[in-house]
Amino acid sequence: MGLPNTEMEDFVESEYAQGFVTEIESDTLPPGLDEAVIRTISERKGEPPWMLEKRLTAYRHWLTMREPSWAEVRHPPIDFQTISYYSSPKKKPLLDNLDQVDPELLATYEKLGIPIDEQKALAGVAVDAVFDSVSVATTFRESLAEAGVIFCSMSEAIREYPELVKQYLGSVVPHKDNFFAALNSAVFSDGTFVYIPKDVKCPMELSTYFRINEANTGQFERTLIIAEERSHVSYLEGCTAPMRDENQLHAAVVELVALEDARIKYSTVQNWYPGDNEGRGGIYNFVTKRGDCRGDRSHISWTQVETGSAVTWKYPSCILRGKDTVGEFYSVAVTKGMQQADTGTKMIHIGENSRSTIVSKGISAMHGSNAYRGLVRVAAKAENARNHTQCDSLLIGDRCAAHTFPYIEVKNPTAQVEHEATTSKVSEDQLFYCRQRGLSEEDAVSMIINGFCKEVFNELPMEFAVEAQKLLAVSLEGAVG
Amino acid sequence: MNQQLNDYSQAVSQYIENLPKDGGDWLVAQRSSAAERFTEIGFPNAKIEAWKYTGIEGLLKQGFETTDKLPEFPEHAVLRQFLEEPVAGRLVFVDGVYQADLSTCDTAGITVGNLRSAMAASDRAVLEVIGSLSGMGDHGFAALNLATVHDGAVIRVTSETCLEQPIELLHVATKSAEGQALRSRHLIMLETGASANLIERYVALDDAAYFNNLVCEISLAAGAKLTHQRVQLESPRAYHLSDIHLGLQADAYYHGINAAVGAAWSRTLIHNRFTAQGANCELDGLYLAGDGQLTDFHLDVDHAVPHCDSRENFRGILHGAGKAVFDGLIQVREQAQKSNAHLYNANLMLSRHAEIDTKPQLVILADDVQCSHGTTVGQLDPQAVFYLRSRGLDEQRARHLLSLGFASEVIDRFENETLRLQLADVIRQQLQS
Repeated sequence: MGLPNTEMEDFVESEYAQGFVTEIESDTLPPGLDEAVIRTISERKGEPPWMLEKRLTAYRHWLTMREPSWAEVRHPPIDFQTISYYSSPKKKPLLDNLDQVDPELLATYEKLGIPIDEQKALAGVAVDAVFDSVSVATTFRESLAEAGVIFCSMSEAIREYPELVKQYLGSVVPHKDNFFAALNSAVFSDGTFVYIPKDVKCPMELSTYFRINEANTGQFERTLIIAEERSHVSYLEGCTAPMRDENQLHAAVVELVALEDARIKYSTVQNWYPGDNEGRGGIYNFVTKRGDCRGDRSHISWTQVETGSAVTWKYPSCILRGKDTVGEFYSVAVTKGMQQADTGTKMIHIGENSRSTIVSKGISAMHGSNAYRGLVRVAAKAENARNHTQCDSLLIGDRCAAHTFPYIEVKNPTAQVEHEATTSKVSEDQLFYCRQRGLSEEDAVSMIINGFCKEVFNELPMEFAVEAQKLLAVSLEGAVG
Repeated sequence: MNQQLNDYSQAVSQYIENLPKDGGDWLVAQRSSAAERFTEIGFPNAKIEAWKYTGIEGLLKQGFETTDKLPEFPEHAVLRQFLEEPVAGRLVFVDGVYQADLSTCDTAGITVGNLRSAMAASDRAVLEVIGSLSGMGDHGFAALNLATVHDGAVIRVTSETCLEQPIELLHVATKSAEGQALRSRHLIMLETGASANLIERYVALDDAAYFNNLVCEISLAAGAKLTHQRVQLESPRAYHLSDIHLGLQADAYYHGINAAVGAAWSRTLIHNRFTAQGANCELDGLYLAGDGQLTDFHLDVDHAVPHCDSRENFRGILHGAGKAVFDGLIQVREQAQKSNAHLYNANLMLSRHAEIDTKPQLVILADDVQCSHGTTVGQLDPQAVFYLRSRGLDEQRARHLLSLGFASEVIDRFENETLRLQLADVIRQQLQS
């Protein structure tokens, strides 16, 4: 449902609610990228030599690659030498409890509503907060540790669980995969590492909040989730960033590995600064997300609500390698102002009886441009593969754009693949019906849009579903009616 | 590849040099600039999005020659290919060469002729239309066609003429086409309020390998109506490439019904850009690909003005080791409000080694529109097969019957009964082989 009008007005006045900058001294490398920078990053993070080697290999490969230009997005060329590749809050002596944490930092979390304190115990959410590039605080480690779940920052995992990292890092998204994945593999700052052992159902929803804080620092998150046989995990990722005028680059890589009978649910609400209505500022978001259903009967589900960023380039994918595997992709992407999004998914059917579902809802308003780009590939050996794809686009205003580019490649005669897509504006009839029942035009539009997205919101965990609806209402404020 | 490109470029300039000089300066100039364009863009390759799934290595390897050879053929074999129904006009091309003796036209309101005589007579009214819709060519083959165009049909239906009987445009390939690149170019013009029915067919008398590289420009003036039934039944070793460009004026209506059944390799591009309001474009298509065949359909419908409608329905059957490619782009530009555009593509995979790559696309820049596309890939419903078997049909016949049923949605769109029966026959035969 839409928000009451008074609340709407507050939002209008408040501009970008999450647009504040926390003043903390941070330890930032000067802009530029070469082997020395990568050595420094690795050294500062106290990484073992094999990790440095991995980074350098990726970097050398990256040098041979060219930035892709096929996406339906336009932006000025990115100068990778003007970005600083490492920023960490200044080292402090080890802390005994929360009181010793920099109060500025805690206040930032408060403003963002990050549940770092005791209240969160009631909500049952463990949070690994990434402030710029270094993990600052982690909660609920103990109760997770009891279940045998490892939930920590990537840097810590490299130090503490080198075997797991060596085995799985880069096994789903190799450094040669694409331009931005190569860059990320070379300079990734930090990220989240999750390991769910055999037969464990993770006792709580895991969640990470990312924040881009330091001006001109790219964030290169690296996330790796491993679900062992018969384990279950649900992971939430939410993003906000302070308001900045210069474009900030974000090139994250997320890898999921699901072994036999494992289930991974990955939910994202992305609300980074989209730039102002003239297209100044805003985050460039080039993400590679991929899940590998390695074991039979494994299940990976991606749900995303994309409302932020000036430019989004993101295709969470599933490799359905095992038998009877299931891949799902549910997405709502909203573009307004001058925002551009080119997003979608890839479902690669390799195993027998693999099934996939794609539901993509795009909303374009003002000058926003929204593209769905998807691939469904059924390999010759994927008997009885099944895919259903539904892509709907809603257009609000006559200056926006919606595109649909599905690729379907089938090499097996037992496959059943369906794709359907529609593009239209908010139906006059529906609007008229709501209006004659006494709803204001704005509320009516809000209601119709929420209905349009419902299929995807239903897939979100409870906390996120509420946030997503609120976000949608705020995002489209000023664009409808 | 570059070596080949140079060979082709040289062959083209030689061809242009050797042309009789009475062809009219204007076309020679056009030919030369098309040749330049070809040298500049070269042949398409897999890195070009529109050619990603359609390889041309086999075609280039054949090294088809650009010569103007006169065909030798038994006349009765060609006569046998004629439609049984009476026609308003008939144009016959054998191996790309116009056959004046076999062609007829005595209906008031239409003029038919061939491009070669128009070139010889320097008929500017005709020559100036060439390239007006297609341009120099978006890819190397289209540019090659313009640079070395040999002959083609010129059909004009005068204002307010309503033809009851169809116009037949027949292409016959004989064994003397072996190793040849045939370069035809058709111009079809309907004046204001005219209406016509065109039946265009490509058939082969022998099992020859040749390359039919065609460009067809169809211009419909305000309120004109054209039903265009098109059947491609080339020889099983042939290569067939058609670029069809449509220009629809206000309230014009074009209905294209296409069947691509023959040829080892075939690609049909239908390009329509709406430039006047109230026009309507409907495209139906059927493709069948079996062992060693590749069939490709590219549709490009561009709504550049408001209040136009388009509908596309394409069905494909894949058997043996057949491969099909389908690409259906619908574009709606900023100012094209009140556009309706719907596309549907269904594919039936009957065998293990078949492959289908389908890509419908929507690019929408206006908001008050109704656009959709849908595509499916699937197989015969086992329950339907079981039902037919329980009625006494063997497995094979049950499957053929159901496949034919799948195709009939498009076959039934053909207005001409002979074509419908012929197509059903060909499909039955192909599935049995």
